[in-house]
Amino acid sequence: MTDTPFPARAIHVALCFDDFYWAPAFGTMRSICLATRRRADLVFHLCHRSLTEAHRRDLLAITEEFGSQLRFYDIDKDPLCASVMARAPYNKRLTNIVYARLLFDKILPEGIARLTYLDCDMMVRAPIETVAEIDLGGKAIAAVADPQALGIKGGRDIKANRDLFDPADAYFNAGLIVIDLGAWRAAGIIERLEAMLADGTMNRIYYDQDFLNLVFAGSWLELDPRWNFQNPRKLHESLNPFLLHYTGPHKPWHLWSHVAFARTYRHTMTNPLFYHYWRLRLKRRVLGLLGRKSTGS
Amino acid sequence: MTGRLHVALAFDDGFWAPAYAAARSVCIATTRRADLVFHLLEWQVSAAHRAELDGLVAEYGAQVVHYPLEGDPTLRDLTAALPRSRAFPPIVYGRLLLDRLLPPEVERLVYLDADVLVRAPIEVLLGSDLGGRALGAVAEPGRHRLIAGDDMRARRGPFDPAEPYFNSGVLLIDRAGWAAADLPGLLGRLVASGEIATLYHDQDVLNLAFRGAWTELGFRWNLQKPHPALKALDPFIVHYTTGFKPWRLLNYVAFGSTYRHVMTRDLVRRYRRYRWARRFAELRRRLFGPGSGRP
Repeated sequence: MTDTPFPARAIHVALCFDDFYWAPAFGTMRSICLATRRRADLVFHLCHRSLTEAHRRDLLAITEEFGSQLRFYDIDKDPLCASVMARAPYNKRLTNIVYARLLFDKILPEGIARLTYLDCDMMVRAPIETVAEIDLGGKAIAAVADPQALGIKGGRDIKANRDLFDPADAYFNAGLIVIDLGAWRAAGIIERLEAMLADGTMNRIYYDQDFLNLVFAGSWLELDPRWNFQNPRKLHESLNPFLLHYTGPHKPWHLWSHVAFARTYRHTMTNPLFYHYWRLRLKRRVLGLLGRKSTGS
Repeated sequence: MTGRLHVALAFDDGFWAPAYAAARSVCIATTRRADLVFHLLEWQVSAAHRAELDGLVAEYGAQVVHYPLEGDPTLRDLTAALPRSRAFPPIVYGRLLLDRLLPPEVERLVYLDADVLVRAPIEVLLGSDLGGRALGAVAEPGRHRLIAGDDMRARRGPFDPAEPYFNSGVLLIDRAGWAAADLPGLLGRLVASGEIATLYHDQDVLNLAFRGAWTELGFRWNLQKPHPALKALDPFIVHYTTGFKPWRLLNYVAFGSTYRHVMTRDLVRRYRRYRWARRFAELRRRLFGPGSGRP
């Protein structure tokens, strides 16, 4: 699988997830495939914690159905990733998998000039190439502004971290990032990260999103908000967003949710996987209450 | 946009009141009322209801032209083999005959579903740049599932979920391009081949006819699923696509209160009684057999 050459007009897409997020990762990938005709150009770079065989097989269904390429990168086996994830502040909700994306230039093979990163709680509704191949106008990355910016970077009474962020400055949500990998590499991300880990900065900012905003301050292209439509509720369906980002606690894989296009999401994840994932989460929760650990598959 | 402002609607007797409200909203939202020409494609609309629609002539000086199609042999033949329901009566296919029906001086027109509320001057839409294409429309937000079906793979229709697909409730039509598409001919071929059974009513037919040849308009020209909070977007045309209709007693839609005043409160009340009478007559027919009650 890894020896297959990239298509001539490859659209490189990266996702980072741990084993228990395999089903949403599948949903995000399948939504991308459904919304573009260039399915054979898609190359998904899956940066994952150790995966069960069953979940890997589920993900490979993308290749069977759409002919897109999948490349797997077990970041638990990557010493640099493991070291960073062990030392960086732990994100309770998202786990330390979030830091994997900072190391794309170290993890992915050579020869990729442009990469589009997506969070796994997303559903794409428009051809991904529209944004993946956008003219960056000399900027290193493209992203969408975060409507919660003031609260995230300013904290309580919008007074935190004034030495790092000005409340008036633009701030992006890191759920979708279109990356010029050359510029990404030139930004010296790992060096900046090591410095901020050493001086304690990482302990007082909002994980990797604040970090990326510090690194790329003033050098990111702002995209139409419909390319990373955050916290989408039912009423937002009318706006025909291009890419939905189910931020916060409301997720489309919950049995009852009032998010936009919840039903479409279920059919995109496919009903068998949706309900399998639901049963698995339920089992995990019940076992958690009983103080026992789920096997995860 | 100078000259006449042509607007077409297609409806049956059960929708005469929403059609009146849609047309009246057009009149209210433009100062060029005397330039308006409403082309009303009708199916079994009673004389009393037709007279109600003629009220727009007296109130606004607009022209109203009726096209009773229940006796039209082309429409009858075309729709004889089609699936029909209360939501999709034969008249929905009536608009496919627009080119055959309208007078030759109509070069450009706007088609509106009856469940819309127009809030902006219609001449702005009529004057929009179509980029040389035959049709202007707004994307259908629910298109992916509509096209692909369960698990996004069950429906094997002619469309790919990745391709653009429009909602046909608001259409800006270039007459020559519309005529060139030969919609009655296309519908006839789809019926003959049996392909029509795989299509979602006339909306699929139109999407098939103008595939890759339509211009996308901003979503405010056909705001679908209009939740009350979306009033802040100041939409130009509100399209009540969900089960929540603004003429119902209980509704939760954008501009529901405005809509009642556009339809006029008197007509809202009468329309409610009309719907109840129809429902009652239908119940009586089901209980006691055909011929036992007429609305």
